Amino acid sequence: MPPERDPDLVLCRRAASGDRGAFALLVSAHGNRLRGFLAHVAGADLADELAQAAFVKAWQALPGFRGEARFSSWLCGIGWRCFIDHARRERSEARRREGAASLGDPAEPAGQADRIDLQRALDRLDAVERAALVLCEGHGWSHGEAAAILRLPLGTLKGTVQRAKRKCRDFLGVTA
Amino acid sequence: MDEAGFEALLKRELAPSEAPAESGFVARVDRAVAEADLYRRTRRRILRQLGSEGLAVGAVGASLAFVTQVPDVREALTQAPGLLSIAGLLLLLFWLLVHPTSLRAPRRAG
Repeated sequence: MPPERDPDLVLCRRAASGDRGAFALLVSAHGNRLRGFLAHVAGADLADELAQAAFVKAWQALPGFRGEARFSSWLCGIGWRCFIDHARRERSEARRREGAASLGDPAEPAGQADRIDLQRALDRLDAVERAALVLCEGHGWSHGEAAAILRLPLGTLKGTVQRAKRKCRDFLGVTA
Repeated sequence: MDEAGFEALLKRELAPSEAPAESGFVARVDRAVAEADLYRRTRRRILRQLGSEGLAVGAVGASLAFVTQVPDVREALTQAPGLLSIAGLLLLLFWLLVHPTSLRAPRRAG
């Protein structure tokens, strides 16, 4: 799609010049997607807080956004870095307290048994494995886009997705 | 569960919601953005003010140091040492009178 026809880019340009109404439209359009990603990675309890922080950072960084990547992937990258910063803070606080502060309890799964099992399988993955799996298998990003979002080399990203899927398969007892 | 079922489960459960975010979330983000903007503007204003007032204080100090090098002034100061304190107090009073903005709370932008 040509940049001038990309509705997100038009809204981004308006928001970058200080139009908060245009930014609210971007928040409305991309809020649930970002919260969904962060809920899988950080847990449902933290997803809203992190998504809000990511949107504030995006607002401040918008004047520098040139539209080379899609707004949604750029935003997702900011959300991921908010999560990384949060995890780092949590770790240092936990070290200070000398206690084990687990990062964001996973969302309480509701619904059918498959979903509960998948949630348990996801809980066993590292944050980066969960993020790579959610981005590539759920959100439909290409490996290249997911690697850019997570700031990983492409080969590392592919290996991470494969490892995450293998762990999930093993946990769920998937037969070939 | 077989491979096809596993792939379908992943796609179904990890898919993002395409529905627009609820208005409560959008309003919360808008408030957070407004607060972040206000904080940034206030911080920038305070830093700029500190910089300019620091320069002014430096200039006044340098001027005073220069003036006290004048032999007549130095002699007057040795005879009446309180003169420098009075001059300093007068300068401070003058600064407070012409710089009331430094004492005001920042204006909230709409």
